[in-house]
Amino acid sequence: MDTILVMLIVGIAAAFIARKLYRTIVSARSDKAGCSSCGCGESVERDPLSL
Amino acid sequence: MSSLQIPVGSPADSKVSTIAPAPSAAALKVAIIGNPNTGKTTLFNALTGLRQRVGNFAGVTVERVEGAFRGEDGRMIALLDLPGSYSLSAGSPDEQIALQTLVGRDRSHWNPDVILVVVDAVHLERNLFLAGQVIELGVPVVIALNQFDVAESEGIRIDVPELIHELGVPVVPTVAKRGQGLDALKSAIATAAQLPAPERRFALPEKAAQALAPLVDCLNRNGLSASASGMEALRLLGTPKTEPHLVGFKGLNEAVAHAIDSLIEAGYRPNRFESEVRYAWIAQVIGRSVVRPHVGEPSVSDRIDAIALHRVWGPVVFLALMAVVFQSVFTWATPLMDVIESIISVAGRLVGSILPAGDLRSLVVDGIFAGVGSVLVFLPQIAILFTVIGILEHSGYMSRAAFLMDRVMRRVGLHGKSFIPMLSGYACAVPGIMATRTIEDPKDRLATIMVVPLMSCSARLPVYTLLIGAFVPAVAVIPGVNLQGLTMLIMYLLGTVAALGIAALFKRTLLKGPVRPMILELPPYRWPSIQSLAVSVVQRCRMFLRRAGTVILALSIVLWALATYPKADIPGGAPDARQAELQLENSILGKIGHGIEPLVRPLGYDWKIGVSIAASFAAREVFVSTMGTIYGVADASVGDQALREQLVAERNPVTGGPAYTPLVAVGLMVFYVFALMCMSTIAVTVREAGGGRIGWSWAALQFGYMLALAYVSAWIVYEGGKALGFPG
Repeated sequence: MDTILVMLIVGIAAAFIARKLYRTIVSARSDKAGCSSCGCGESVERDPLSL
Repeated sequence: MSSLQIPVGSPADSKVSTIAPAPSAAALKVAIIGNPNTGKTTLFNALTGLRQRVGNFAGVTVERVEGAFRGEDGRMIALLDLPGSYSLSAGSPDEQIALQTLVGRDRSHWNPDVILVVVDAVHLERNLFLAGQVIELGVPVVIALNQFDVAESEGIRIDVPELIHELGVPVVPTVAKRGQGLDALKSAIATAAQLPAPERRFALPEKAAQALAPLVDCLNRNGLSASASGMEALRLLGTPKTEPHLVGFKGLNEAVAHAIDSLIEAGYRPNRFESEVRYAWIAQVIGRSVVRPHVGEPSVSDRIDAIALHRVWGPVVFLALMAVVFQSVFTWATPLMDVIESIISVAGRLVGSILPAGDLRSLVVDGIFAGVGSVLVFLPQIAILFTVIGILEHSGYMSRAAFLMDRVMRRVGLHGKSFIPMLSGYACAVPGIMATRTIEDPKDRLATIMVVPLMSCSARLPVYTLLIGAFVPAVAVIPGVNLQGLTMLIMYLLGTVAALGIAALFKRTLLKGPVRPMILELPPYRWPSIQSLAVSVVQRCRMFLRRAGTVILALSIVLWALATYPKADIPGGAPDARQAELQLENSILGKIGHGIEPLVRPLGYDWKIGVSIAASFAAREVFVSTMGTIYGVADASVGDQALREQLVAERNPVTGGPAYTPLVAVGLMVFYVFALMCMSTIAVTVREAGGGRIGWSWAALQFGYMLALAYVSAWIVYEGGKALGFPG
C-alpha cells in the first residue's frame, strides 16, 4: 500500500514536469506566450503557460 | 497634503454628476495610452485592482495588458494598458503595438470605444503631442491629467475648464498612486462613450492643407475616417513607411511622395512639418491654460542630481547603494531565515513522527521537507532584496543609474535603452528579454537579448546565499559591509561586466551596427508609494512560493525517487548512516551522478554537486533543493541540521578533509553567474529572436556560449585558486 501510494505521487510529479517541459517548448512557437511560467512575479498576464 | 480639487468635465458639460445607463450591456472597451512614465500602469492597477508591475522609469510596460472594472451603472469596462509612446510614429516594436491597437487593426481586433490618454501634468507640453494625435483618431477620448499633486506642489497652475475647452475632450485631474480622481475618471469614461468623436483642434496653413489634400483623400478612400486620415497624412510625412494597418492601401506610396513634393514646393520641410504645426498649437493651448512659476532656486531633484549624476560621485553613490542592498540581504534576513528553518524542521519532525517508518515517510521528510524546505528558507532574502530594489525603482533613482550606465553602454556598442531590459534581468531574464521590445534597432535588440540572462536573477539568489552563508566568513570589510555582502555584490557585478563584454563582442562581430544616442527622461524623485511597493514585493514572494510549491516540489519528489530506488542489497550490521550512504551510491541518482562526475571533477565538484547542477537545468533554485534531498536521503540522522551546516561538515571519503572548500564554493557561484539554466528563458529567447529556426539558432548560441563561459570560468577559479595556495 505504502509503495503504491509513493509510486502514484512520484508518477504525478513526473507527469507534471513532463507537461511543464512540453508547454515551455510549445510556448517558444506561440506568440501568445508570456511571463507567467517563470514565476518571477513580473507579470500577471494569463497565458497557456500558466500552471 | 492639500486635498485635490477635481473639476470634472466634458466639452459639452463641464460638471458630470449622473451617468445615463449604457445602451448596450456589452463591455465598454477602453485603451490606455500615454508617454512613458506618466503613471499609466499605476492608473490601470488603481482602476482594475490588478497588480501589473510599475516603476518610476520608462519602458516598464512592453506588452498589451488587459483588465476590467464595473462602472457606476453596472456596465463592465474593459481596460487595455498599452506600452508608453511619445508619439504615434511607431518607431519601436512596442510603439507599433500601441498604434495598431488604437487604429483597431491589431490581430485580436480589440477596437477601443474610448481612448484614455494619461498625461503628466508636470510635462504637459511634451505629453500633448501624443494627445493631439490621438484626438484625431476618430474615437472618443478622455484625458487623465495625472500627477496633478506634483504639478501643484511645483507651483504649476492648470486651468482645467480652459484646457477642456482647448482640447475639446473631457479632462480629469488624477493622482493615480493615491487613488484620487478615479470616480470622476470612471464617470468621464462612461460619458465620453456617448459623445461624438473629437476632431483636430487647429487648422493647417492653407498652402499646406492644399498640398496634403490628395493624400488625405487617398487615406479616406481606403477606409480611414476623415479625422484619422488627416492624422495619418501628417504622420506619414515624418515616417513615410507603410505600417501594417496601411498595407494594401491603393495609391498610398504615390500620394505620400506627391504630398512631400508639394509641401517642399510650398516652402515647408515635410519631415518636420507635423512637429512644427503640433507644437505651435500646443504652445497656444499651454499659453491659455497653464501658469508656470518663475524659475528660481533649483528643485530638490536638481540638488540630489548634482551628486547622484556627478562624474565622480555618481558612480561612487551607485556602488555604495548596491553594497548596502546586498548587505541588507544578509543582515536583515538572517533572523527571519532562522525562524522559517525552525518551523520547517519542527513540521518535518511532527509529520515524521505521525507516519510509520517506510518509503512514504522518507518521501515526505527526506524528499519534500528537505528539498522544498531548503529553498523556502530564502523567502526573506527575496522579500528584502526586492523591497530595497523597489524603493530605488519607485523613487526615480534607477533612471539616474541608467544615465550613469549610458556612457558605458555606448562604449560597448549597446543602445542606452538596453539598460532597462538588463535591469529587469536582475529580477528575471524573461521580462528582461521581453523589455527589449523598446529597442528600435533589431541588431541592438538581439545583442541585448543575448546578454540579459547574464544578469544575476532572483533564482540565483538561493544558490549564492547558501554557498556564501556556508563558506564565506562574516568579517567586516568596511563599516556596515562585511565579506558576505561584498561577495554577493561581486557576483552581481561579475554578471553585469560579462554582459557588457559579451555585448561588445556581438556588436563588433555578428551584430555589427552603428551606436545610437539615447534620449533619457529623468523623472523627479518621488517618495515610493507604499502600496505599489508592497504589491510588487508580495507578488514576487507569492510567485516564489508558487514555484516552490509546483516545479520545485515536483522535482524534489522525482529526485527523491531517483535517490531511493532501486533498493540496494546492503549487508546488515552497518551503521545507519553508512547504510544510507551505500543506498544513495547505488540508486539511479547515484549512478547518474557518478556518470557525470568525470565532467565536473576538473572544477573540484563531486558527484552530488554534478547531479544537482544537472537537475538545475530546469530552474536554478533546484540546485539547492536537490542538495537538500540528497543530504536528506543520505543521512536522516542530521535532518534537523541546516543544509549549509551539512555542506561544511561533509568529508571527502578519500582524503578525510572537507569535501567542499571556499574555493569550490566560489567556483560554483561563478558557474551559476554565467550558466543559462532556465527553460523559460530559452523559450522566450526563441520567440523574441524571431521564432522558428532562426529563434532556435540564437537560443542555442546563447545556451552554448553561456555554458562554455561558465565551465571555463569555474575551472580558472578552481585551478587558479589552487595555484595561489588556496585549498582545493
